[in-house]
Amino acid sequence: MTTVPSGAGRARPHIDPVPVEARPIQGRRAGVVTRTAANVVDFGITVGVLLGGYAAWSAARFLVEPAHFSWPAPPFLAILAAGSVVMGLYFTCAWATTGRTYGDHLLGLRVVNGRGERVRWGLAAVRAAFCLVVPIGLFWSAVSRTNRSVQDTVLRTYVVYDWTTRIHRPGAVGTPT
Amino acid sequence: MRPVAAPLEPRAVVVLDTRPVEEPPEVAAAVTQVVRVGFGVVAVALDVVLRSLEGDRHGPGRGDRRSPVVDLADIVVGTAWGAARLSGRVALTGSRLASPVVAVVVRPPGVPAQLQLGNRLGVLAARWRRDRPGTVLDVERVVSAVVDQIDLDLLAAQVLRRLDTDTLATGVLRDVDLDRLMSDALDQLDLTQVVLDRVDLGRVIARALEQVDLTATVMDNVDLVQVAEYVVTAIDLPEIIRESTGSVASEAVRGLRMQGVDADAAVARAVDRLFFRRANRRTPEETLPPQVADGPDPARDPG
Repeated sequence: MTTVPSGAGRARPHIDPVPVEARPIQGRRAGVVTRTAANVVDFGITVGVLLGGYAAWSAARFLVEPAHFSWPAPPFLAILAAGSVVMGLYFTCAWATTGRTYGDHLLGLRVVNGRGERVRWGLAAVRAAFCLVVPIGLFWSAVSRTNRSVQDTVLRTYVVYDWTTRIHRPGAVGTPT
Repeated sequence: MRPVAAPLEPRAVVVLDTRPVEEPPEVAAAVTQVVRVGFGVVAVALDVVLRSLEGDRHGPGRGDRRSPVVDLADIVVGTAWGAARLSGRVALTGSRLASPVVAVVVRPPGVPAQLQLGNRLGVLAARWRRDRPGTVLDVERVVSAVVDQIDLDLLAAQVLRRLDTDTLATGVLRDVDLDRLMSDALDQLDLTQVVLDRVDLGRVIARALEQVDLTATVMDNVDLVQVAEYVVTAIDLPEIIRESTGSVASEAVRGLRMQGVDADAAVARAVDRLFFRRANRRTPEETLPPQVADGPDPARDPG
């Protein structure tokens, strides 16, 4: 019975799962349309989470005082604060763990630092806060010659096209594509 | 080998004469050898004649009785052989007894060396030794001329026809070390190159594959499961499946992403046109850490 030679020392062949037409853009900085679309998706997710929380809160109130139940009417600032917290945590966790939110995943984007690696927790938190405080800064990527938003310019981060699912850890030598 | 001094010249060298020195044979031994050769020839001739006679006598139904002619021939030849042996002994003894007398006769004392019979005979012998190679060459020329006149192919064909080739082949196979012969022959050949030059390997392989059930051979001799495991491990198939199904498998997602990319490019072109930019945007791949780590030139980067 013939035995298979050991593959030790042999370079592992790389089979790219990315479609051929999308390979040239992998790793390039994304434009404003895809980034806005991703943020819209993320905003929808945040709204969904808030609605879920609102429904849970209402159900809890109904269970506690069914006779005197009324729909809660939180003030706008409370909603805004809750939405900011949810979105901030969502962005921070997503960027620091996988480098992408669900909207980024859907649009094939990834947030990386200046070395092309996944951003660290601190930078992810600062970037999330920056995005919440100055959301309009995203549209600077439409004007910027390097497709960078205000947040990217200040924090030296980038949003790139990345259709793969590989996670590039900070400090690891590698490429985001 | 015998060193021979070259003529004395300023740059003379000593050369070695490689010709073998032929010692004159002893007279008694030479006579004995001649007699033995003569009897050998007679024996061969008698054998040929008697064999032909025996062939006639041993025809179908004649039995294997010994012919009286053979016995008579053996008696005659045996008697002659005994006489020759006796004559040889007598001659040997006589020569030993006569040799002192002959020596005195050949080289008598008191006679000048030039007039001695022995010296004259020595001169004749030396002359013959000198001329003998030429006569041998003449013989070779004659033999060569004779051979040229003979149709060797026909001769060889006749010889081969009369030979018992089976017996000859059996004898060769028995007496020749074929392993060593083949080994020596192969040592002198670049067999690989010979095969590459003279063999149509494609045809050989095609014919071999026609006669071999390659699938069955592989199934019987190759551990396909091990091969499959090796390939899966080598190409990291689980990772490929995970990437393919997790990110880009959906046609809808792929279309959405490609449309987003196209929209990005369209918006970028529109904005650049609005700001009268002619150069393309600098959106290098983030796969170049040295350049990307420091970021683009701030002077040229309004973002």
